[in-house]
Amino acid sequence: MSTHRARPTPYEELEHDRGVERRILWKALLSLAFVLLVVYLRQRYFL
Amino acid sequence: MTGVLETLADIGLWALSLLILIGVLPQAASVYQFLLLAAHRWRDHYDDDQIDLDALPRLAILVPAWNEAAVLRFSIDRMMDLDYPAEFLRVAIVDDGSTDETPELLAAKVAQYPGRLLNLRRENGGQGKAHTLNHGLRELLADDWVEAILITDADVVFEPTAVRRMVRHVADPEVGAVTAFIKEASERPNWMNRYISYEYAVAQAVGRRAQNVAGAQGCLAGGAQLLTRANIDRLGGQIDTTTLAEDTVTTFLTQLDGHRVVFDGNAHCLAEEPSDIHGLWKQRLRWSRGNVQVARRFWRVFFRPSRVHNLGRPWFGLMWWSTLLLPAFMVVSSIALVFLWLVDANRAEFVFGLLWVSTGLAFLFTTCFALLVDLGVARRNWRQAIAFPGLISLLLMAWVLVPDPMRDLLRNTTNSLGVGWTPSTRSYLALFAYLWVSLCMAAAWAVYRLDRTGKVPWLIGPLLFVVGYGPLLNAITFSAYVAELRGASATWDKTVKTGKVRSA
Repeated sequence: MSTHRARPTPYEELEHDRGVERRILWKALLSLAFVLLVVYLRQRYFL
Repeated sequence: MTGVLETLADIGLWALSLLILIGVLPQAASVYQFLLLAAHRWRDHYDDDQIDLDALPRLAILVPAWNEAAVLRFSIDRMMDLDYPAEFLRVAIVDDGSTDETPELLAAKVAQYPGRLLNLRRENGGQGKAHTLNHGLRELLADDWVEAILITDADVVFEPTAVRRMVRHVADPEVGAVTAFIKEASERPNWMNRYISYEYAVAQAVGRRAQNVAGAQGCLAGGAQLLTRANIDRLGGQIDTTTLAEDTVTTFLTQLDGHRVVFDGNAHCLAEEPSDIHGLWKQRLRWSRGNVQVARRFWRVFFRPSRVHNLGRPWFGLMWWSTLLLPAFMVVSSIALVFLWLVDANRAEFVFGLLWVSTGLAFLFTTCFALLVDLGVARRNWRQAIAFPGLISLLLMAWVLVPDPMRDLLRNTTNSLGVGWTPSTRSYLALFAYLWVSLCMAAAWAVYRLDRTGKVPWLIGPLLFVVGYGPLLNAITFSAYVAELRGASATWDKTVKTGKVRSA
């Protein structure tokens, strides 16, 4: 059995690229949550 | 009378405070850019009615070359190996009168790839990249075969599917040009390559996606400019030769004509970038001067909404001018802080806190988001991402974000140094902090000058870590203002490439 992975078709590439763009929104929310956590910790422990 | 004087004094204090807070403007534009990025999935130009995966235009890759044998030796083969039908792809190298072994190399490669590789040599070269490209455009457009042209640089290596990913957008008749994500890809990256790698992730993977959302692109990446034939014809079959930023002029003219410029962040290409401050300064001074020239040429376009294009929208103008004027904002903010400190130290401390709290939070958000957007860059260059503003600026952010522990740290440090935590010590430290907003650019310039002497190469990296890569970029932009005001000669100062880019 060949272990060589077949090159993705243009359609599979497009689905992959759409997935990359979809995940950006979650990354934004994660970054925002991180900043809010920093603000909370600052207010709670460092002021 | 006393009342009037008090009112005037109050107005003066408020005016100074507002001038200081000008420093927040670029941060606000940057954060807004990241928020736009979050919405990219709805404006990524991947809808079924926008792209066509089967329609592959007959494409010519146009490469200007002057003494590029070291990189062409590999890059031509890689262009020929692109995942693109051979009968639809030609590569045209414009040898701009090279004096190294480029002519011999090209002759051998033309024999290796008959009919697919064109050698468009200019005997009398040396006029700059734009003239070299125009020679190539004239030759290519003389043949009806060409349906699209991809302008690139000799050292740029496209990932096998990158070109196919780019051309899928040109099926949309509204699209005039497409650009890709150029990544720094030195085989053995040093600290400078790593800073650039992170900077490119922010400027392209983040910045250009945000510009997709806004519907207005600031600049096609010079090494990845896919132009439709129709668009080149509309531009008069030539690109601009009057500025140092011909790619930016092409981007503006395409959009002013009512056509879209699309950034495809999933089409990747790899390029070799400067590995020392001197090389970076030379390259970026050219870019910054080009941006100043573009701003002068198109200043009427900004902040004037139009039905034809989106370059006049407020966000685009804010993004463009806050980037270009960032060094000026920093100087104004810093001077105003010192003036305010002289007349009302408490108010100065309060406004300084506002400025740096917003800077610190913006830094945390944008750095975290940028690293998440490109996890490959994050794995390799997270240290440079954190060190981007420089150690001193990081300490200032820590000072305002977590003041109690920082005060203890500073008190202990000054006491152990024998200086003491006295009012005058605190006063001098405050003055230094207020001045650092603009002083950091002078410090970055000093590091550049030290690098040029070549005397202590081992010290340059640590010094830049203290001063910051961001301030270095601002110092270069400031230097571009000076060069443009002086009317310094605008010659094309080529970045030396050595062929050290890793394979795609």
